[in-house]
Amino acid sequence: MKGPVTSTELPLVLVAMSGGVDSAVAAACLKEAGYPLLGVTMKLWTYEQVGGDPETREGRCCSLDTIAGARNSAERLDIPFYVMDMTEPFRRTVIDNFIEEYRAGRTPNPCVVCNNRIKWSALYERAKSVGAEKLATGHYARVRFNHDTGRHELWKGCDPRRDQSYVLYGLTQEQLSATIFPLGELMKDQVRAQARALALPVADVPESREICFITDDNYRRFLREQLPADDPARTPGDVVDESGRTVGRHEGYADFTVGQRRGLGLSLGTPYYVSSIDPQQRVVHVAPDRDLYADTARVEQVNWVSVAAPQRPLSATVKIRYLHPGERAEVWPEGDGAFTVRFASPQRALTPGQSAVFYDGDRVLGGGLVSHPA
Amino acid sequence: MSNSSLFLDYNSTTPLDPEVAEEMARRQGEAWGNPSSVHAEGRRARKLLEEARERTSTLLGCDPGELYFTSGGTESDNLALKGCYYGDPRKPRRVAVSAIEHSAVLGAAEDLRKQGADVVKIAADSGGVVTPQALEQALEGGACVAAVMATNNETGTMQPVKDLAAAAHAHGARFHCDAVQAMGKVPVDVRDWGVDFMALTAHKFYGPRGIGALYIRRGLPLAAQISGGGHERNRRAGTENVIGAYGLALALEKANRLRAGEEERLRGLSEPFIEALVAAVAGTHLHGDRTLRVANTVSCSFEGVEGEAVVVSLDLKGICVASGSACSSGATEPSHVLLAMGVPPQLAAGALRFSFGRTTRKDDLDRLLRELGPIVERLRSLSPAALEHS
Repeated sequence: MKGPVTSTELPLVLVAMSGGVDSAVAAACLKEAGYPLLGVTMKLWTYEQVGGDPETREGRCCSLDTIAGARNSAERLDIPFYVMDMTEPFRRTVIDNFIEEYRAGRTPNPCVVCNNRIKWSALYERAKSVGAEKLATGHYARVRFNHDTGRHELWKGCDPRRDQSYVLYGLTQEQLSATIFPLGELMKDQVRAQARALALPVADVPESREICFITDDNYRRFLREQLPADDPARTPGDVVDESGRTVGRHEGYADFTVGQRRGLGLSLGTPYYVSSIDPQQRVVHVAPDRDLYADTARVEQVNWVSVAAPQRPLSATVKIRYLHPGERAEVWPEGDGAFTVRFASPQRALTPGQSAVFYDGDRVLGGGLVSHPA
Repeated sequence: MSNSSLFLDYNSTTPLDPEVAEEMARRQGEAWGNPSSVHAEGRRARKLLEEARERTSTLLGCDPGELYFTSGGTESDNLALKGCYYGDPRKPRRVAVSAIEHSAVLGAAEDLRKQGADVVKIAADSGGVVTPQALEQALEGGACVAAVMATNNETGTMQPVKDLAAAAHAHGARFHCDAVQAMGKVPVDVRDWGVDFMALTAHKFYGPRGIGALYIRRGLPLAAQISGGGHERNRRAGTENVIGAYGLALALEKANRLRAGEEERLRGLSEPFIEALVAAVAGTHLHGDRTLRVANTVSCSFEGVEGEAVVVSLDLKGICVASGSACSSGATEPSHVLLAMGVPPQLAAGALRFSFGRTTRKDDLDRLLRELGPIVERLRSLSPAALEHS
């Protein structure tokens, strides 16, 4: 039986535990700091729902193994631990959105959606419902309060190779004010070392970087299973080159993402890549590498996380995908809530559906979704 | 405010009775031999095992030769259903299980369905009762075996076992009764009930974990589900848990001795508790027929409140209670029992189960009531549905 919560000045914190090393160490840091804690693993999906090869399942998020790993870490830290069933909201928001985005010819980032709609929404609500005032996760990012502006700000994690601020730009002021990122100041090596020092059972769990509910990392297989056979995204269509010439056929545009070369089955002498996807005509447009570069992008559904929405153009470093190094740019308000990003130099494969995130140094200004070119 | 741990989840398990533990320790020296061995040490263990069987069967009203030790309730339920189904292939390839059964029975039936059996569900009424009429309806066209539990683990509703067994027999079906939750709570007599199979497990009546039993009426064909040596008269292979069986016998003797007194005492606690709960918390819905409730179990939902949040909130205050049935990962899902009774899904998702035991006192229930009010109030003020749709 777990130790009862002791009376303390510090607020009760719900720490989201995935079964991995990061969230376990995050919990350990908070425990060390004296916070009363409860650990929660969210059950987000079931294998029946998402399919995939049973042999690849071991150790995936949401498997019984990883839930057991989180539970063992919580035991080790002597904090109460619960599994909360979020399969229904996760399906409704994250999985359905993932499928819809591919149907619309875009390439989604489900982690961004999950953070906004599940972790800092459904889970945060559960936190409040059990009397917890704060939500903590093992993300490598920082929250700082700016006394001059009176705003909570989102900053990159100190470990440049692990920074996860890119997937967190959608948080609101209220959400940030209730958020603790215990690993924000730490390097991954320090986190692993601390896990070993504390003998946490997850110290050597390999990390997951792919999409959690695509258990075999094969999103094409997933979409084929989830989409009805007569769905346009699964229906064959033309592959058209930059001159408008039909150069081949494809088995469904959901198999493609901008910048992709693999799977086109073309032999045109020079390498060709997907340059855009037209879901209405079911056409996959291809072009040589040099035609994949663009110096502007329209960004929609923008959330300004650390600053008020700017009325004038603003300089920023903009990342257009999770592992993108970032490029100098100007962000122009369009008046309709969208923004146009003008890059200092053209960027390859601006991909509709991916997030463009605006940085001022290590501080996240905001971000939104790259839309189809006009 | 006390934060000491308060356990109000005695339907999930019970602690080993100290007297039983002491007596088990005292006779452990006679129990370690292998009852299958030819030599003196084996015979000594065999003697204790058979003593346990005899004492237990006396309490159940059967012959020692009709009682088979297993690892617990789940194994006993599986052995009854599958053993009966495979043991008598001339019977109809149909199995009837009530909609309110424990997952051990439902899981065994599902296994049989995958092997080609026709599985039919016996409906429960809104009070959580499986009536003989409902059973008869399910048995039209015959069945190999029908299973209805004695008392439900979630609602505490007692079932008309005697009439159900008679109805099953009238339709040519064998009758299995999962009596796991009934032992120590209601009088149990297999002859009086007329059942063909009956499952029990020791840890629900202050006995040790990992030991249970299955009553199998003499002469019934049954196919063993664990193969190996000829243990338990060829019906359950595996070296016998001798000291466990002895502990089961001791615990059941004590449970039977205390039963009437505990029933009266817990009735005297739980009825006023229910009244106070309904008065204190607006929008409280009780589940299960109140006149057929075993004294230790109270099942209810609070309108607009998720059961899980209440369970976690109470746990953080040191009070252990249960919500809907737990699944393998520990996440809670709406109870199939309540859904089968026609409770709306939203209300079923909010279900809580309080189950009381030998150490439960009025002070404990007062404490539970004190903590519940503010928690339910907080949860209603948050109305979590609002943000989930944002």
